[in-house]
Amino acid sequence: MNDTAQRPEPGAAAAVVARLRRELGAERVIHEAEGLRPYECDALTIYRDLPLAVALPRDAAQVRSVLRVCHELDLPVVARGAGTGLCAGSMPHPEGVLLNLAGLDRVLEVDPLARSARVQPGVSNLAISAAAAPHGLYYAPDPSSQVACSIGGNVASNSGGVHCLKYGLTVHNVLGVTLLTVEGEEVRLGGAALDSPGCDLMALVTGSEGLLGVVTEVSVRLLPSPPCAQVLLAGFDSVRAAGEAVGAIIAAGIVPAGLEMMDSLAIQAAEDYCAAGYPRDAAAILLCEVDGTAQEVEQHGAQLAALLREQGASSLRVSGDEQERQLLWRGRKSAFPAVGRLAPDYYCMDGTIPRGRVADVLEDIARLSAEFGLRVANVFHAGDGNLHPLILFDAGDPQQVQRAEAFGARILELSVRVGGCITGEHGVGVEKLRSMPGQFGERELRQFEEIKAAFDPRLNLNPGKGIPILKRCQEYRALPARHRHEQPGAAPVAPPPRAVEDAVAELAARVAAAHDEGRCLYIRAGDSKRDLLGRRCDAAPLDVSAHRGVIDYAPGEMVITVRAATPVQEVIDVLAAEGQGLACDPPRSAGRATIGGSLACNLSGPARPWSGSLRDAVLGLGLINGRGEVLRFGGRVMKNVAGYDVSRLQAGAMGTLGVITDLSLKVMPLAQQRLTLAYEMDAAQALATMQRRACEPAPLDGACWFDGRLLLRLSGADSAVQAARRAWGGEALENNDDRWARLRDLTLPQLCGEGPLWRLGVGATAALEHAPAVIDWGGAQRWFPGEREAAAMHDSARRGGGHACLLRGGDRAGEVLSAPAAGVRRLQRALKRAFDPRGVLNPGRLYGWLED
Amino acid sequence: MYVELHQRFAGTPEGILASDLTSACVHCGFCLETCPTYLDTRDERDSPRGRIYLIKQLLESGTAGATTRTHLDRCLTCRNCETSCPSGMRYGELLDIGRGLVEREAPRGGAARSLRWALRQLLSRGALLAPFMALARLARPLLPAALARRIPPGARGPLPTRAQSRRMLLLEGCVQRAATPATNGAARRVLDRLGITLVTAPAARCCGALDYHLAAHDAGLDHARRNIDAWWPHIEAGAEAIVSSASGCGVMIEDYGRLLAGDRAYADKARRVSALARDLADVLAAEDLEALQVDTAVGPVALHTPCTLQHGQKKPQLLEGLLLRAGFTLAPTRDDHLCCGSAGSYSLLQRQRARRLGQRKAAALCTDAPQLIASANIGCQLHLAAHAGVPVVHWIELLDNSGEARQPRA
Repeated sequence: MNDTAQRPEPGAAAAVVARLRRELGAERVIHEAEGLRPYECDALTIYRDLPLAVALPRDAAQVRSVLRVCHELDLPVVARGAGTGLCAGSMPHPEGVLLNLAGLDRVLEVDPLARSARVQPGVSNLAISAAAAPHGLYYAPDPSSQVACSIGGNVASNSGGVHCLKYGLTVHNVLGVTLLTVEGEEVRLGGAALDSPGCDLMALVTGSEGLLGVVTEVSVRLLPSPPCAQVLLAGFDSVRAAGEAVGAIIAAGIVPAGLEMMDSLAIQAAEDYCAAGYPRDAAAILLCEVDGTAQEVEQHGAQLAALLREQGASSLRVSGDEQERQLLWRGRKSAFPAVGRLAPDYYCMDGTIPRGRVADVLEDIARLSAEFGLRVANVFHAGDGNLHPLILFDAGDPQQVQRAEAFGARILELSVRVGGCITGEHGVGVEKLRSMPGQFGERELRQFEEIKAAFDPRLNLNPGKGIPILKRCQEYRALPARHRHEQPGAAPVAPPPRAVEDAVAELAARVAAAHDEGRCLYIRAGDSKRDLLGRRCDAAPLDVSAHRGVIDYAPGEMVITVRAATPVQEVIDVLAAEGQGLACDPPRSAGRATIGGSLACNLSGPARPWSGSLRDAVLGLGLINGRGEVLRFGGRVMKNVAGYDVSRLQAGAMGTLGVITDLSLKVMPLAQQRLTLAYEMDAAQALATMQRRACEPAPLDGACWFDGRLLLRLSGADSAVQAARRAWGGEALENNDDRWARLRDLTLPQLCGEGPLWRLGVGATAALEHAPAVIDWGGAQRWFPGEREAAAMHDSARRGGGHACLLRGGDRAGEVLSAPAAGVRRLQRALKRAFDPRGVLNPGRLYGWLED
Repeated sequence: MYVELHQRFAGTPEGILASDLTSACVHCGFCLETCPTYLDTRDERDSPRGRIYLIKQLLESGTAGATTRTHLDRCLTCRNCETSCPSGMRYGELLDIGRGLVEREAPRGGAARSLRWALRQLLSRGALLAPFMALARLARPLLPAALARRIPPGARGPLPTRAQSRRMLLLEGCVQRAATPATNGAARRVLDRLGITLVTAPAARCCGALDYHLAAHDAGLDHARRNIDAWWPHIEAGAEAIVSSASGCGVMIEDYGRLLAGDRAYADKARRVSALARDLADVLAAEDLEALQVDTAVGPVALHTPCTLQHGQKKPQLLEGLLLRAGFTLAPTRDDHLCCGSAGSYSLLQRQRARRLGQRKAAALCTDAPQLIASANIGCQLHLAAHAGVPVVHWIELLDNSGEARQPRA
């Protein structure tokens, strides 16, 4: 696959090599073929190519130099971390430079009180947890390759892992990144404070496969290590029985910390490697982890054991100690390479499907296996519905390679057909580029292209990966021969049925007309936020309020799909009837707040630092962009990294990028028990106490201070809540106390009224300034009612590592949000143009300069 | 990974074996973070995966240049990567073949060749080394502390004279015989107390590892054949085991069977010898340590389990278990899986790198202020002594009641 025919002129190579050597030193630049060869592929070795040169920078300044040289010479740049990716996402470009970030390998800071770490992109995933361990903290996402994969690569592919069912993906656990643009300009996204104003660029960059910029630093959220954890290992006589047990666990309202499945071949391979003690005679096993306090683990463990037996488990083993638990996971986490013992090569697929279809899909895969004459080992994030069929083949036989690729394409097609996606966590890379049109229509692909152009107009960052470039079909032709050959069955499958409802069509027509006629629109549903958060927008209203109601709700899948103008309260009521809820708890605004508006404004309740925001819960959405095109991104499955994360990008955009028509949300079982503990103390004491408590492994999901009282809210298993209550003391408040609701809905006496109200988002450990009336989010959100000097508020927020918002009152024709740095402003403007080139939607609502 | 063997290697046994070995690698990268040289440079070519790829390139293209040689040279052969490899890659074997091929395909300049030759001659002949060491010991009181620390003491205490009913063969080693005679002295005394006499075959010398890992395969195998010849009468006379107190030598003897499988005259004997090879710790682990009445009041000991014991012989817990059973207090240490940088002749041929690794290892061993460091391999012992602020001994000295080893030396 080394297409030497298209190698560029020797002169071009010599020029870039000379420049790079000047910047990095001769030792850190590789250019002769013999030395380049080990860099020709990542962990998917069937796609290979040699770059012009490999650059091995050791710090961010050198990375910037490399980018600047390549930008000047107009050369492609492909960033690479540890090279453990499984989709050829860091395969070199034959005309470009491979930028190896492995040399940026330092943990820069661990801040135990803020529960965060700042690391360079080459630090391995596991090394972060190792650095945090002395403080009783850890980094939750744990892809199976965590022993080697780098955090930069995790950000590029929004990696998951065996624990993301409960603790989320990379996007949920990254607080900020430092990004170098293709020009070498440094841009900081996110940071110590939660929820930066404006559209969520950090979510967009996460999972963008190195197509939008190069990450040189990552800040991650650390969690208190659970004091206790236990793995249950259950054997089953059939794959179907194991699949059905997964459904039963989720339906029972239990969210295990990890829920994994392996079939017979995978079991044999893992046993051969590390003798974890998996039952070799089982057709499938489930590994199910519970964690938390000792009481919680005991309670949930017993419940799960009973459930697994009820589901017909043929064997059941519970890990006795930490060593045994680690060993049980080791078998699972090594399963991919361990199947290397069964065949010379394997091809790993990554489709995600609704959990309820697991058994059906696995049976279909078995049928396909017979059809293609290739064995398949199945390893599977059962809790998330993320399949990893490993197709075994011998790359020495070209026929087998072809069959493996065709087989893989059929599996992806199958995943999309049952309502899933082509990649849950590995990314598209080169490998799944051809399957993208199966999941996205031409309009979505064009929107992706425009996002790409907003960051990288000359398409020099990781070209030929991630998203197919429609207008540059020659790129397809330029792909190495391996990707060009016809793949039987890989023809784009029909996109999932898109019942574009009449209401959506009508709204789209109105936006399109405004676009054509040069008019502007102000998106309005519940009208609960007109004078809140953003600037005043006087455009003609686009009333979307009639577009409401639940489209689909499958409690067993933990997913609800609703129209955007559905009131938050209505969604919560529907969920509560099934014992589920929205973890993020957005304000209700007396029933007027809508789910779409809440996402657009990125509003969250007091549980935000612990349970996340709507941005974290959103899985997919429908969007009408500023041209009036109806688009659909994401899906209804737990994990989806195909294409850019346009769904989360909408958080904080305040409707400036599109009209949200409907959205799918991940929902969670309601907490068994809730309890508030109150303590009389001043703000400084309260802030210190919040920080200390947040570092402890307790089910804390609210920490606020007002009226001279610190309130701590516990939500979780009965036993865990009671244990924390005993340990922490304080006055227990009645459960019908409405203080949390009034804090959430801004109806506390300190927060309501017509006067100006400032909201500061800062790092939770930021120093107290200007005497806030209310402190929320464990210190990360602080409220200042009354007239305040704007400059003082913005300066204070900046010192605290965050941002200020004149939430209500004051001059709403001027800027009400902290101004981002120049680089971020430029990107926000470019994105606005990519979605809404004529500035039709909510002009001036976010910033006065956005449409410039 | 599939290897398309170049026609030059197509029919050759080493070509076929190398290609089979390579096919076990699935290029997952799980080995990267366990490789000391990759952690040092963060260059793929200094990782096990990168070196496998360089060898693959050699096998497919039929040629190799200085780049491949440089990066294969930098490998410590610690085989940590084998421990972390889920797909069962036998990296050490492949690397030896690769180094042999590279020596042919990308010959070194005269000076480098001579240096390596001289090093092999000097180190593998204890007799040549012994006078240097004797001289150094004499000068020890006159040397600065940092230098003096690097010179281990000579033999101590009387050797047992009685003949026990149980007999085992002892490999005296080459460097060890000259540099740390105290080790085998202690081994003889301890085993004597357990009713075992250690006998030596005077004709047995270096195990051959030094030559073999420096790609002098024939010279290495000659050592093996000579040792087998020297031991054979003792084996026929009922020696229970061939004991090595240096885990680096032990792992080589364990490999004789595989390495000489193609030599009709020696294959059977080599297999037998390999089956009898035991690390000293292995021997002790099977005995009743109570009988030794070991004085364990030496303060916390930082245990260094050499790579040849944990990754080569695949016995990562053996020593720890033994010393705990004997009643010693072990000091907490970090990064136990990482190599100290000694790696046979590595510390002489890759001095800078070896020094960085040595410092890193010494720091990892001394996290909790141990009284002394105990190792199980002569090379590691000498190398660590240069970087650690506390004495470094062979663990058998701790079990030897002559007691001198326990007195921390200045």
